[in-house]
Amino acid sequence: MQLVRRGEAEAFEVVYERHSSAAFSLAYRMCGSRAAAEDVVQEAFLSLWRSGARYDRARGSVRTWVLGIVHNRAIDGLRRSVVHDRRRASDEGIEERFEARERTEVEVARLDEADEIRQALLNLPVEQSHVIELAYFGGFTQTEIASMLETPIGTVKGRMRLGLEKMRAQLGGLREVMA
Amino acid sequence: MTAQTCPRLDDAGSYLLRAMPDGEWEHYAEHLTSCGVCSAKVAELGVVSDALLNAVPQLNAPPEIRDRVMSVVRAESELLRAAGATADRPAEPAPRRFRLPDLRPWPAAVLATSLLALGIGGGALLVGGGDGDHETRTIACASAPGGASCEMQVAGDSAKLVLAGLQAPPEGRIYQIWVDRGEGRPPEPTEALFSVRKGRATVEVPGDLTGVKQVLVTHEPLGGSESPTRPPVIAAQMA
Repeated sequence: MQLVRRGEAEAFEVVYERHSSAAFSLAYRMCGSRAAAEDVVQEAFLSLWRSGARYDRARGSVRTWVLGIVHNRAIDGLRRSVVHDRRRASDEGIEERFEARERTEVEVARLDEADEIRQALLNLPVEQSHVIELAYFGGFTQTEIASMLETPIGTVKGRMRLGLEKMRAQLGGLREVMA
Repeated sequence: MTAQTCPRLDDAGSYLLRAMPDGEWEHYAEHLTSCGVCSAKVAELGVVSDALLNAVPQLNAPPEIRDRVMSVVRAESELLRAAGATADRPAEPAPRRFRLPDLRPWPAAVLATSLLALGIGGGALLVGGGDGDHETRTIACASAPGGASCEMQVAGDSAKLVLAGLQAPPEGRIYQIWVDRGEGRPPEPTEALFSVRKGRATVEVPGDLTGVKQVLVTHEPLGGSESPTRPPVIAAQMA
């Protein structure tokens, strides 16, 4: 990242190669279309390039930093779009066309960890996993979720916190696979 | 606030999942600076929200994204190198809401450029100077955005634009140089794509300049365009 800060395109290319597939996967999960996901990833990486100096190693891995920016960009994009349900309207079969292959031990470890996290999410009571999914991957605000579920907003917030606490307990040994 | 309770503790999950509307999110972030209960909860649960970023089915990124991103990165890296070690990183693009509206570009653009050329530039020849075998002429640009300065330095068959005080192009776009040979022909694209560092850029105008009447700059989608999609933001008359 020191080299990226100094404007070295080659160093940035390494960062891109390492994290672009995870970035695209997250963006596609959130946006539901290839075109929207491509826009999000492109904007996110150019933002990263232009703000490399803001990366703080003490606050997490490069991967988490990259994916955090992708997540924020995707949420911004989803909230700008008036109609959320345009998501997942196209690109059927993209998973087959772009499915990633496991290439390295680190990637395998990440996939194992991702499976654990997904399982922890599935193990939650459905009302808790539902609000977490709607917020984190759907980009919906707590107000929108409360309205959709016809549930008081305080209940929605409580379910989010309780859900995350239960996942934390399940994933006690959670340790980030560093990039 | 005691070590055990805070009425805003439930907000920790919503904050981490980004379910709060933007204004409320910033308020809670401010609250975290003074509430040990909530900040401890956010630290505890933040590990989970970070982990969720990876908990999606993995796909390969389409290679086109890489090409688009890296073409901009390489162009900007070159500029940074040319600007020297003290140059800033490029400015963050303006927020999307400040984007220029889509316009029908050329009729209005040509008119605007012509008016500006008559009213402002008039082909102002400022300085002549020796530069090896060729005399260098410095020409003030006929039009440039407010607050920006622009001149074109012409020496023999080559020319370069020297810009200062120019805003970075809107997000997802890049500046592109065009040459206009007049006679009703559309401007010709060049491969000169650039952004700015600290508002500054010095960019060679590539290609054969014979018969070129004016050099134009527009901002275009990343990777450039074959024909302009926006009115020019800069126009420099060759003579």
